[in-house]
Amino acid sequence: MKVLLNIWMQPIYARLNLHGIRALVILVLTVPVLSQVLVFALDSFKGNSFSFKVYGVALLISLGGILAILFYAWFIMLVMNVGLQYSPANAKFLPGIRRYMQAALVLPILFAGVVATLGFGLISNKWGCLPFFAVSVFFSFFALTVRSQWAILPFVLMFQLPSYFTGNAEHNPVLLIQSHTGLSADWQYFIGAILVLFISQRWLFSVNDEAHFKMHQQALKVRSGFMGQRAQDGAFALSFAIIYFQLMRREIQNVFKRHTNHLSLAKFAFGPKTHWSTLFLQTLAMSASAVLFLYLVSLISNRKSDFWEGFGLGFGASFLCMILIMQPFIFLIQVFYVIYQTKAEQSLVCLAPLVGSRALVDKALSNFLYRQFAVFYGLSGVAVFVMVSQFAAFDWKAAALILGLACLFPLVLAIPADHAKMKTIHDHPLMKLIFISVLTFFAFGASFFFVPLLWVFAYALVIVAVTSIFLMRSHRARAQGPIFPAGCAV
Amino acid sequence: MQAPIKIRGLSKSFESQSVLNQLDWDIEAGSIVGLLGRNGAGKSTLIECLLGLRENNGGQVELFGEPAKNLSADVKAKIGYVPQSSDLFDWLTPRQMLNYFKALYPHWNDAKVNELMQRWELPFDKVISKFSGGQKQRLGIIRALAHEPELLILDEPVASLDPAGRRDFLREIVDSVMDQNTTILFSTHILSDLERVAMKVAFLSKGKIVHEQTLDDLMEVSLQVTGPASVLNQLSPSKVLQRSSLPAGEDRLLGQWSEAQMQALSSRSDVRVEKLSLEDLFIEMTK
Repeated sequence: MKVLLNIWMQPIYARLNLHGIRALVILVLTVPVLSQVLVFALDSFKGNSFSFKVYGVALLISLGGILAILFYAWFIMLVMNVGLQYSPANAKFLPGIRRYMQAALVLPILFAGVVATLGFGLISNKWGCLPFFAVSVFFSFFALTVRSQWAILPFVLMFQLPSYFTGNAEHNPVLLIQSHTGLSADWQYFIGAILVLFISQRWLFSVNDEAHFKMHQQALKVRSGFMGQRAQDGAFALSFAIIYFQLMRREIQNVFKRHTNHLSLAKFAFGPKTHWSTLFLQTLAMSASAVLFLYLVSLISNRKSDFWEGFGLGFGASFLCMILIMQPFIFLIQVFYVIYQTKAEQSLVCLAPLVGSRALVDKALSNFLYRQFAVFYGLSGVAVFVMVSQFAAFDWKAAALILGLACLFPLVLAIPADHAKMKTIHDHPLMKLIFISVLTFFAFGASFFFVPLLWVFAYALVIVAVTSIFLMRSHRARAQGPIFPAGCAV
Repeated sequence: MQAPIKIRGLSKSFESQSVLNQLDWDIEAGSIVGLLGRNGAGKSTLIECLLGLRENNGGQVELFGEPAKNLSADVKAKIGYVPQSSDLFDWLTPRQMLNYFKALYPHWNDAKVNELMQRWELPFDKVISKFSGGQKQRLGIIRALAHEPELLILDEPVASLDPAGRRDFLREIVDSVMDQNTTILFSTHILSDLERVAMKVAFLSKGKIVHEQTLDDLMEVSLQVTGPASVLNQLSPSKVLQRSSLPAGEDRLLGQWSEAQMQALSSRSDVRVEKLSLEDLFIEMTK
């Protein structure tokens, strides 16, 4: 048991060693508080009298949600840790390691299955083994990603089976087995879940030699990605930077021709990941793949309606819009990794004679980041405008979208953060800013129970104005000292 | 001639940990200096501070007479720097990367770049991320040499190379700039890198350059003498490098001695005299 506890505690210790713990704790604790605020707003709006039960249920649901998210996050890290520890050397020389690792994975999976069954039963008052099956299969497949990332594919396809069987009941194995053997569906789900768990665990740990070495390398890669260490981009990832490379080539040629504007080249120290064109092409590709995937799924589920006219186009457009709305956020998540990882590149640019002084390089690099944020925020604005214009009336969905867009703006304050004082890759204020944005969204959102929806424009104005004041102040403060290379003033 | 590097009272600490402590150091033009220090001694910090890439807590650093924090374009053009990390611009091909830096420097020797790329068998159009560690380091050195700097600073430049190739490769770098009287400063904790390459060695320990000397002199005039403290107190070496007490009641004195003193010492029976290898000297000096 001590060994198992050790394995289970490692993800927790690993997380505690990272920065941003305080912000994470505050974020987690805010959810139950928000649940109470929302219930209060709803009750006040409807004129309901105070009820302990309603507040209690809201509190329990929010706590349950947090625990589920924390458990899932812990399991992700546990899987990663198992991948790291089950190295070829450990597998050979540590007695019983396979058994411990299997138990360390199987027990939480079973635990999650049981809790899901109880939770679902308590909430819906329907008792059965389907939640146990769904949750344990979900976690089993997730654990398999240690051995191969492709395990995710059969996993996703498997979740399309209910949709397929709804249209083809004559092929439904559960019904077939039930009619032939009399074994109830619940027993079948239970046995099915145990079988999937058993087979997946056997397959996961039956790896040897070269395949085991590759599996461990993959685990190391995943870990380094998680730790924010520099990952080497392959040809596929770089293919999204085609516009970036063209721009770079053109700007270099211009500098050679005109012998001016050398400073404009400084921004290329950050690489293609933060350039709007790279992220935008990735978004387009992701949306196209999602639509294609759903098209394939619709073929399997034998939907009769025209996919492209109906679901595909609708889903594709809304998926693209949602991803576009989130672009400033996705960009900022990338920014800190890039800023920290390209310290050496920034140093070399600072030492280049034709770019000018350090202050000029700082200004050029900061302005580049502001410009990219402006492009992404502009894209978000367009996406919100397109979505809102599709609604028949200005309803709560439109107001939520506009408020959401406004609440993304404070994230811009991450750009003038003190990058010079960045101690580690996780040492940045993004978590704090996300917290403020989410809180603002919920605070203003809850007020719509009392005020007209059109007030959202006033809210948006206030958020943008206040953020702009803070932005100018931080920008001025940063201009007093060095900003790049990141970590230079630690 | 203006000294390429002049450091006075340089201090740097990370939170409460002092890394550089009132460090003074001058490097003469044309010298090839190996900066030696244990892992974590502060070699990279010192190099970054002297290039103005890291804020220091006190002291002054001048490169070619200008403050390192505010270098002019002329002085920057005289500096070549190879950072410790070799994963630089690895999303580009060498052709793209070299073209980029060519646009940022007033002078660029294309012939030299082509010659080194050929000599070290580096492809121009393969993405740098696909290169081995050694290839990346070679490419970084080509980039640093392409504008023909007067001061070349290399931070652990050969760490990714195999032991056999390291010394020859450093020798090649030194040879490629020798005729231009380039000043070279490279940091290392691998002693074999220094032999046949460094003209001078500087030991970084406890935040200071504790000793600096030509490698040949260092090896020739340094002796370790072990014996009773009272006997050692009577000796007067030209320089005391290290003195420590041993558990057996004896003292150990690492010092530098004149030829006559060395002869006299070797004939004494009340003390033990040892000539140390570079490894042993390193261990003693960086204790």
